Amino acid sequence: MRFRAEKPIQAVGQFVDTLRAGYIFPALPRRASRVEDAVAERGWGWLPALSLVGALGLLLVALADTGARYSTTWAEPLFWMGLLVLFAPIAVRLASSEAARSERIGLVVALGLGLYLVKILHSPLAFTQHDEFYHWRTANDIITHGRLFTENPMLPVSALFPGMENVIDAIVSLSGMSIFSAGVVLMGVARLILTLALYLLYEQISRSSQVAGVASVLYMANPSYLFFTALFKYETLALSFVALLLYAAVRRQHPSAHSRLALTVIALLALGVVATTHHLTSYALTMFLVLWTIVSFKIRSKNDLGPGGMMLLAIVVNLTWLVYVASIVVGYLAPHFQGAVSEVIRLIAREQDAGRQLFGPSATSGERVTPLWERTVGFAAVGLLLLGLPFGLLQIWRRHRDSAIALALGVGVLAYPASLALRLTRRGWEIANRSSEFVFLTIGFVVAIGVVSFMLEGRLQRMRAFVYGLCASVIFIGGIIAGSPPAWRLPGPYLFNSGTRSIEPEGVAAAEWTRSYLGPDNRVGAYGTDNLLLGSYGEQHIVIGLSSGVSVEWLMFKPSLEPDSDPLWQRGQVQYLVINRRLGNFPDLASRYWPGAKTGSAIAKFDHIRNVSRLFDSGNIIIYDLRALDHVP
Amino acid sequence: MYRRSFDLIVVIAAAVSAMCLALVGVEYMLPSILALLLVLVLPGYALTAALFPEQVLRTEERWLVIPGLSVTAAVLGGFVLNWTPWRLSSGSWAMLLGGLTVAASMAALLRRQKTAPASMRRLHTAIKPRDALLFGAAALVVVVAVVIARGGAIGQPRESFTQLWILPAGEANQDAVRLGISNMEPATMSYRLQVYEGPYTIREWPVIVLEPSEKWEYVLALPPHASSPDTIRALLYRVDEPEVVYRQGELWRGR
Repeated sequence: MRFRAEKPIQAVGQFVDTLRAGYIFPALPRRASRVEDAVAERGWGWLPALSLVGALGLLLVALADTGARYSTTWAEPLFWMGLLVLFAPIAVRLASSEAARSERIGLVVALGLGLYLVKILHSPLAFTQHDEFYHWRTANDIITHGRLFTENPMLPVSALFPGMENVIDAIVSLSGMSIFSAGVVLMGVARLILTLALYLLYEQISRSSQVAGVASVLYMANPSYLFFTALFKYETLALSFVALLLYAAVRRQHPSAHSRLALTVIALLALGVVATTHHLTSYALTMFLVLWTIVSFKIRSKNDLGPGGMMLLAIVVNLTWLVYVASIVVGYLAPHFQGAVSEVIRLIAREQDAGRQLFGPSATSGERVTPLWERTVGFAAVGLLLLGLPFGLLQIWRRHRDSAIALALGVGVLAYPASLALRLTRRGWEIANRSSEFVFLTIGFVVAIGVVSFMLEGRLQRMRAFVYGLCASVIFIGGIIAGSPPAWRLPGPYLFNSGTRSIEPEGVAAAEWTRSYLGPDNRVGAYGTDNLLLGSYGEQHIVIGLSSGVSVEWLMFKPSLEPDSDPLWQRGQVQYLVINRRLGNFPDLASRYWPGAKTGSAIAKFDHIRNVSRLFDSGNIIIYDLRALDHVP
Repeated sequence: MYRRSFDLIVVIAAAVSAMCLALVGVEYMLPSILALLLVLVLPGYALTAALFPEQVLRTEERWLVIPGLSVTAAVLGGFVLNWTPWRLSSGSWAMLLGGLTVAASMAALLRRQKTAPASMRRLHTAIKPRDALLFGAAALVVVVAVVIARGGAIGQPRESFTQLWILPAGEANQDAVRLGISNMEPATMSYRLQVYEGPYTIREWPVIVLEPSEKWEYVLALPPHASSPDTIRALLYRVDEPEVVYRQGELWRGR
């Protein structure tokens, strides 16, 4: 085989042709389909017993959550133990070649729903996570006003993608359930759809129920799966329908598929759901469809039901929604990506203050020192995945190179190393974390293909399955460590401005008081988590940034204030100010905004300003009325 | 055909029942279970039957497609309702989802007449007694776990508090003020409340006793105010700590 290329690009093309011709990695015959496991009906196998074991794992998690509320030392070890009891036995069994297809499906669904329940056990009474309050507000506004596209001052873009809230409105309107209860049910249904769709998608591509089971488990090990992908937010529902769309699109390509038209209809409807429910998920789906189409074209797939049409429709639908409904998405998303990319560049250039300290202190972890075992498992999880990727890619090339979707997943997995780089930056960490729920759609499949072929075949099957289960558990625990700050994993006593740990009755009661006695939609300024509560339970128009882009905190922490002459004050037009006196426990906080300022005296100044009324006092929370001042509407 | 389509007849009956209840016009009439079925199951079931009259979907695919299409109907249907005069309400939702279910069921009935059901291997669903026992035990343990978690959340030690508020009750703070106290402490509390205008005491309540979660409110008429702005201050004390101001409010009167 000789290369005779005149230009580099031709050399690359010839090399690719060489690969495709099988000179380097010859194609292997496709493995006999295991879908016909149904032939060997062995009943439910270990599913009943493992369901009970998993339930016991959930019981341990519930005990851990309860113990954590009393700051017991055994809560955290019990939490991890409960998760492992839930996860590991199912992971091992799914790796086994002995399990029947029906058992695999049951195990995957049981694990997916079981992990969803972990989040419910953490917050069984109300929403406690940041994002959930944004969507609670959108849902509440729709229910209150009976129409869509209301204004959500907390997250304006949320109101422009009200797909999820449509369903919530239907449930609440017809049943009288609370938004929380309706959300729990709907997100549970979304989890069921996601779990089943992914399993069936992986099975359809690989023609192996064992690969599908292993891939599903590896997907559930992604850093976002346990908590973030279970939250009441639009992304959760949209992701489920991405999986449904992909499954329908792949299923209809199968030569023996009945009702291709019906499957096409399902895929198109799912596209409509995704496009009207979450922006980023829809764009990620579109990018994957583009990739899939390109790969289909390159391998000259003879399948006349390729993804090209779906891709074009996705582009049209997204552009239409962006232009005519949700143009603010660009301004909303761009700063996040720009900031992350610029920080990566600065990190590469070794600029000072670029990057973040892995496992270091943060706003949510406080000064907690990450234990050595967590760091070890966190790095080991990444290492195991990176180790598995080449094997999976090799097997895809050897056995599935005629499958455009398999190749596309193989190409898509290259986004994982890139996302790891983002984790090294402050602004990119959240993007990397949120992107894991997309990237792991590819990782799960690729690594599973490699695991089944290189690790699980051969003698000593049970030992191999056990070792795999061990590795999968490391990836699972490592994912939680990387994706969920310590304060998120377990409930506990109140922590000021720490997200879920800052949701407490006094704050909720103050927010509800404002709605009842001040009415909704007042311009209210507050700090941190109080904004969430006032914007949601209080239905207030929270002023997160003053019109010039300066935040309310500058007003709050300024050592002295002359409202009649202060330009900062005059720009704000804040009608009510909510002061949390716990801010006084952080005396140097004010100096971040005004050098030399002390927090306690800064927040106390409002008691001494003429025409500022102190309307409400509940001990920690004071509400001031600023409307009597000039320049306030 | 009748036996083969009994499922659709049940679905139509359920959907029609839900629509009739909603048309009666009483909100939240539908029991929660029926409402959840109308949103999350019935439309998807009917649409699935209409799209696949040969009943070729495997069991696990039906578990996927039925809720998927039901949620799809609600997501996309909400946009349709938004542009109607009836907007989004319990009645409009019931008509939309119920009507869609009935229409899709009728279409499915017609299509099934013309096609024969496919012979598709079904997912194994038979349950042996031992398996049923294990599944039942698992469900029970999950219920216990949820109960424990809820109990822990309800009983979590939290800082208790008392709320005091003072609000204008008349025009421009001049006529009256609304006073309020809410006891969110775990025990019965006894308070003393004093209201001042400037240095002068307007009114005092020596003892206000409130049970946990009980609220007290009062509209206090104010004396005619002086020409210069003055403040109305409310000072709340706990009877067991008479020297310590427990809560305070202040209202600037006039400008």
